[in-house]
Amino acid sequence: MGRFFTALGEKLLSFFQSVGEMLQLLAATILWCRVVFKSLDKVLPQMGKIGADTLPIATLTAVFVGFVLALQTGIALKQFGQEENIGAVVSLSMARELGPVLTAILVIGRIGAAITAEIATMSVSEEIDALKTLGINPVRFLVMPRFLACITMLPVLVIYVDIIGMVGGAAVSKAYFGVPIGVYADNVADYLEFEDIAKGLVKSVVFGVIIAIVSCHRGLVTVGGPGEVGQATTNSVVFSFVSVYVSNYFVTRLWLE
Amino acid sequence: MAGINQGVISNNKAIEIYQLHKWFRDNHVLRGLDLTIQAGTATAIVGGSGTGKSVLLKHMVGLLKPDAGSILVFGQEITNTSGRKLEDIRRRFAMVFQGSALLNSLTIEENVGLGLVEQRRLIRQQIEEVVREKLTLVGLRGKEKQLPGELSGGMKKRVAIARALAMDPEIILFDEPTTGLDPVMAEHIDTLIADLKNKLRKTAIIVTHDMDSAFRIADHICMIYEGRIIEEGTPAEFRNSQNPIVEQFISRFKRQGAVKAP
Ligand SMILES: Nc1ncnc2c1ncn2[C@@H]1O[C@H](COP(=O)(O)OP(=O)(O)O)[C@@H](O)[C@H]1O
Ligand SMILES: [Mg+2]
Repeated sequence: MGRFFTALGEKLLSFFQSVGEMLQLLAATILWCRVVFKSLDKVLPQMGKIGADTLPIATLTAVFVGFVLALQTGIALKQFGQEENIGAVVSLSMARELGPVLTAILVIGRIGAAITAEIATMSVSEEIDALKTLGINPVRFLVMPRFLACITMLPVLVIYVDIIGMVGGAAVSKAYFGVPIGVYADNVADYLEFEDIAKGLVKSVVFGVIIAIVSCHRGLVTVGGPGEVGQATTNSVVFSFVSVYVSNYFVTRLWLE
Repeated sequence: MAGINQGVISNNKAIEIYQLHKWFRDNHVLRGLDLTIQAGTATAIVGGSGTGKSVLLKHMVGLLKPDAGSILVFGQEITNTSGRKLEDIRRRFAMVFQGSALLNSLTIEENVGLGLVEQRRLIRQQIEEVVREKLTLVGLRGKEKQLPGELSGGMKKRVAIARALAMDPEIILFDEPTTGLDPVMAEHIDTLIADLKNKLRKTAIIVTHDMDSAFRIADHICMIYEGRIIEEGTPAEFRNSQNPIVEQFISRFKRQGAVKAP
């Protein structure tokens, strides 16, 4: 029992230490953003990579989530003869919650994991040390471009996912519940406000910050051999997931107050 | 031992290390190590594997922080410096890592030119010229566009040497520069290192397993054992050392060398 609490204590300590280091890394990264225009040759490829790597899976995910959302709400609303309101439910759910959160999950799995694996590999093969001895700051060289790419690409992806999800919802509404596309679209237009989308986008920027900083930090602190890279990547993905869920709750609550 | 010689060579100290201690958890790697490196000399650091030679080099450039002790670079304490100041000190160094540490996503020429490109002091043509010159020096002209993954371990080592030379630093740290090279190439690299000192007046610190190469290029040889320097001196002094551990190290190397020879 005593050993259990010691282990728990150590875990908690290392957790808070990690969070502290991540905040420091965030501050350093933001400071380095001042040289963004000299580093476009590193930022733009990262943005392109995020887009190319996540677009196919984002499309699939969004379509099917749109389908199932429309299906479930359609079944419920049909009992009250309210099928024409499917559009409102689907669009609000996508814009406020599902769009940002689903996109964050995709990006964590597809991009965050890759960032940690790449940087962890560089750490254990002394490439980060080599950068330092060449007078190159790893935060400027590696973290800042990935950070900027994440915080700019996430909102773009979220808008895309929102739209595809709503389109998927429209398709199911029409196919299963006979709601004409025009009715669905009018319903969306009546209920979905710019603010809903904007709040989702703000969330996505927060998630972008979290994913970039967590993924880079986990990679940078990896020590040991190539065997540590897998462990670092798993840790990074779990850490990002939890941070996204927790911050999602708090950001949402912030708006209610 | 080395006392007389040090005065003769120069009074200019490039690196001074006093009572350096380093633990990794409960692994006490460096245990009160003292070492002085004279500017403009070539110093070989020898010792068994896992004795902390690489760890020692990393302390010199501030990649690792000691748990106790002090390190002076050209008279300036570096153990408690960080940020801009540490970067300024690092600019006086280049390091060839034991595992080469090339950036795997960049081509050979991008690797060699990386430090210069990021410094933004030279224009592209100048950097390309430096890269070509250094790659020629290590016998790798024509490999510019290849990726590190396409090269053998020995070739990567030579790229790492070219990358270090491209920065034109005052002090160059070589961590086992000739391990994995064939004897001809190893001798060529030895000559290169000797030239750095003799022609360009650079300070070279070479960690090596190869006693032949240490005897050939070093002005000063130090042996690290159980976290301290247990013997140091000129190659002649080192060869005649009465210290049993040193004698054993040298004779074991000779035996291995004899076995390897055809
Ligand atoms: N970053 C590190 N973390 C933990 N232990 C390390 C680290 N670097 C080196 N060590 C340990 O320090 C000792 C000396 O390593 P090293 O300096 O690489 O030896 P060598 O003399 O062969 O270069 C070894 O026991 C090694 O396991
Ligand atoms: Mg070593």
